[in-house]
Amino acid sequence: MLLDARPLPRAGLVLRREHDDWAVLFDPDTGSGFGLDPVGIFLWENMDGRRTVADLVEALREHFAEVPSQVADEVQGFLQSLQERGLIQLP
Amino acid sequence: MSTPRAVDLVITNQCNLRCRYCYHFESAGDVARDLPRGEWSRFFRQLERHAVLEVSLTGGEPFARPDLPEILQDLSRHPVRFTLYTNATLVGPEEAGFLAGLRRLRAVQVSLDAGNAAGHDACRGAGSFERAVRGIRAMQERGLPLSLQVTLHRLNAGDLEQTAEFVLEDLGLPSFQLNSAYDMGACSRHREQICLGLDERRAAMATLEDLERRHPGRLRASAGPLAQLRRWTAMERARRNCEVWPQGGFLSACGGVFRKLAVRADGAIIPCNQLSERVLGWIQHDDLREVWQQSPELARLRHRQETRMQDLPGCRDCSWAAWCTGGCPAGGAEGFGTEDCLRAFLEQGGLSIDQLVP
Ligand code: SF4
Ligand code: SF4
Repeated sequence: MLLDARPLPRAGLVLRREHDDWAVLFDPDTGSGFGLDPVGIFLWENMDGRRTVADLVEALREHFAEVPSQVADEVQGFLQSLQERGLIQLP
Repeated sequence: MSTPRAVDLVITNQCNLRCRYCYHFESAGDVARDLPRGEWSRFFRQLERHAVLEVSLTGGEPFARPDLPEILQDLSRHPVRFTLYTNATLVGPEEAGFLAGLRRLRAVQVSLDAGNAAGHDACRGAGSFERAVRGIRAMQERGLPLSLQVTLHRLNAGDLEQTAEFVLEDLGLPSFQLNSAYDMGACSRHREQICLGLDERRAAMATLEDLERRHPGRLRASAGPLAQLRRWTAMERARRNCEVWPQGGFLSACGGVFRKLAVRADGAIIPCNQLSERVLGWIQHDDLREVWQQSPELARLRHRQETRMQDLPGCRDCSWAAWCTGGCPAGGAEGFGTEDCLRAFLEQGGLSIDQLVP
């Protein structure tokens, strides 16, 4: 996913925090679930269709300590996989 | 887990049948009044707020409640998937069509006790087989996701083979689920005539083993003879191979208290429909998350899994104490002598373990 894309969570999904450090994204229409780690949760909660992928990477660097240098690639790959599963959309 | 993942709702105390083995009637869950729809609607908002993902609706019989369609429509507006438990006798083409329009309906679970009228009606009343099958076929015509529950008892256990054939071949369902009549509620009054004795349990296990061979993967069970046979076989194999089991050796069989709660027809929050006397709070004025996190009774039930089997009276010298996980907390008894106890089954049945697990 390109750095200037502005991803938006698909409406109707439930983010359920299972324990302190992970969550499941649940689709009540199909019953399928997708696990999120703390970084995934942070991205999910900060995507709003206005922030770009670059903005999200920047926010991530500010929020977490010791973010690896290749984080932008990882975020792009992660968002790509969410898009392939139909969990986010690009307005 | 900060909130329950699933909640079971007794949506009504009314039922058009009076099954002789019913665990609900004559238990603490058999309450004088049903919550009005508005109270359920308010509670559905709580479910959404607390990210509960799965709901089941039981009774009594949900369709005995005239406002069930409105309740289901209310529920469908919230992001949860739900399963409806029914005896299917009140389901016709109209009800089936209505259900088919609910996009978050995960499954309809129907109780069918045999593939013939005599075996089914023995506990459920004359005419109920014919009406249940009509309801099932109406739902099949609308392509609804159906699952069947067969409850074994003295009066239908001999029909098992024919039941399997009817469900898997005639109705063409991919699988069905089995349990057995449990000495609770109305069933306790008829226990002698209804609950499986040792000989019947042993015979049912032999038939079920054979059916499993012929229909691999199509029989499911969370309680009753098939579930026991599977669990005991696994325990014995682990013992013979000296394997260590996660949570084996502790009173950990009930995982429900870590993932779900239930609500009685009057709004009482309970740990499970089988523990309907243990009131943890009320949906009319308590918050589900607080009950889940702070109920002392729930904490006690969760702590069960810290009890070592070998510390229970009767289990100390048992050869399976390092693998056994005890049984369901309903009924109060724990350890040796319960229906889930392998050693009692062998001793009382005069069987050796090598006969049970060759
Ligand atoms: S077992 Fe179910 S269908 Fe039968 S009386 Fe009880 S609630 Fe009604
Ligand atoms: S006596 Fe029964 S309940 Fe106790 S450990 Fe042995 S098999 Fe399990």
